[in-house]
Amino acid sequence: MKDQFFEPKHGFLPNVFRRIGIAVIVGVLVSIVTFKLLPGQFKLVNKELLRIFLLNTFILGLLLVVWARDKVEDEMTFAIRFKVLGMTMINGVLLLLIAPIIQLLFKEPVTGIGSQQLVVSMLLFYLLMYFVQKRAR
Amino acid sequence: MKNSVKVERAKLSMTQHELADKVAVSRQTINSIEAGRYVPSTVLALKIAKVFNCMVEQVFQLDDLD
Repeated sequence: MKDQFFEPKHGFLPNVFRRIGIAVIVGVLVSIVTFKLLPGQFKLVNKELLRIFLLNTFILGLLLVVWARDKVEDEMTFAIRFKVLGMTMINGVLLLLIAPIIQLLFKEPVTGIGSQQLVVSMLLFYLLMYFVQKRAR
Repeated sequence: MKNSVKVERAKLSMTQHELADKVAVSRQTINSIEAGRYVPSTVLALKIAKVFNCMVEQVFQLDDLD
């Protein structure tokens, strides 16, 4: 008997992509530390372009980690993913709503939360909650 | 939902890992089912009952809260 709903292999990347994602994240973090420690060495680099590139690469790394399947992916992990996805969406919306209030409280310019900040926070929240929920089971 | 997976597994002297392999899930999932933290799908419940060679109702029963 084949249950299409509980066929968790569909739509996920192979497990090896989790390691690739972690490597990408580590690479970005090492680059950020290098640029911070040795600012004089990279005078020709456009800082804004570099910031966007590093942030997008960091998002890509997080996405690969989130999208890759576990070594043993079964209906329980699928149920956890589904639950955490809902929590992540609510967290994202709340963050979007609360960000201007926090900026007001700290007397910063009220610009709201940027799309990249929102995506990073949602991906990080998803990862954190996924591992917490898995441990709790 | 209550279940007697642990009892049935003990009758066959089977480990959680062996049962998990037979029904193609992780050992953690079997552990969660036994502890009542996770209610399996119909397909998985039927697979587990098949391993124990008994009816699914003998392994999984509704409790008062269901």
